[in-house]
Amino acid sequence: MANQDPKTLFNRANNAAATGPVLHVRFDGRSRDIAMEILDLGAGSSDAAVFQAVAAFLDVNVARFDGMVIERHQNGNMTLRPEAVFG
Amino acid sequence: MKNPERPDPLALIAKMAAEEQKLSDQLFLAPVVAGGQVRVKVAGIVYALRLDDPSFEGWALLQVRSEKPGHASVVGKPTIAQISEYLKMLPRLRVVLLDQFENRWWGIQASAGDKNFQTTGALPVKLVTTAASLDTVYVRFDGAHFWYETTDRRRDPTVARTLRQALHNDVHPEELHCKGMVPQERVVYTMLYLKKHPAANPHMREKTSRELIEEALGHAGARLDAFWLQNENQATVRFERNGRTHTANIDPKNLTLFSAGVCLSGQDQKFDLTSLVSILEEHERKGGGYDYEHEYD
Repeated sequence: MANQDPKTLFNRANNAAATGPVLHVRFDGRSRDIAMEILDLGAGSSDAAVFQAVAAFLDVNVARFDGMVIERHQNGNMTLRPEAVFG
Repeated sequence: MKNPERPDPLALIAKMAAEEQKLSDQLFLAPVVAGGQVRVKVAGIVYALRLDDPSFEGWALLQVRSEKPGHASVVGKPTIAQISEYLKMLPRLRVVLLDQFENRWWGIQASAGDKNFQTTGALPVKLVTTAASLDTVYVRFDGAHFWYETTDRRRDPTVARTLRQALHNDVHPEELHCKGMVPQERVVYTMLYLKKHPAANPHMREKTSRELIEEALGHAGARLDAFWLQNENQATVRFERNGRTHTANIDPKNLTLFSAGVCLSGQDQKFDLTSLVSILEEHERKGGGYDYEHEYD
């Protein structure tokens, strides 16, 4: 089965096992939550570190996050999303 | 005229030829995976050698075949001490073993806090012996492959045994309790459960629309006030954040925005409900003013 490869299993299991701070990613019209512990990220991680970790996790080139922003929430969670153009 | 700063190319070639000759006279030790090449580094140069027997897999004593350039033959089996000496030259990390996929073992890094290695997701581990799923093992990384070294004997083996028994008994990951279990072991257990039960949901049950919306809002510190399903494809959500109320229209299936309640230059559908809360934070920081009490008809 296509969803039985280690990487897919890891993604499915990781989403289920998240208990600590979570990074919410809105990318390419899709949403996903990733436990920051699994990405080895914490509140003190730089934006560059977050972009690198998510790029590795999603297996995409980090350049694809150009124009994306990271919002840090008071509860320790983060959101990675496209930049909003107000107007 | 020879430049003393620049190496003489002819001398360099002669040196490499001499090193290659030496290589063909020597036995060397290397891990081999089926069908693969063996790479040997001599005097700073990496040689890729093909084995005569492409099906061979394991630790081997090899010899370059002088009559067949670029090829090597397995001439013996190294001792455990020799393998150990080889592996000691490589950096080490701990891995929780997952299972075999197409005859290859996989695992995940046992400690997210390892400062020497930062891996994400499942990684293939080569030449695993005498270990089982959910065991914590040591592996060595040579820059390209993770080679199994040994089980971590300091790790309490009852944890792995308990988890294997729970898997055998089909204990759902959300009902799993095991004293001493670390988060990575729980992740591996869940992966194995999902491998065994491909159609299973890692959650005990599907979340309701209300739970999904509450979770999405709570991620960024907002709280659901009320929501209305207009139809199966559209819902209106009213939520509170920092004492202010905001309303948005979303797709209840994936929480994508239809209309954000704040002008996003027609790009609303690029975002979801969680993103919207984050956008409102940014908007406030920038001193933006809009009607928080916006209501949809």
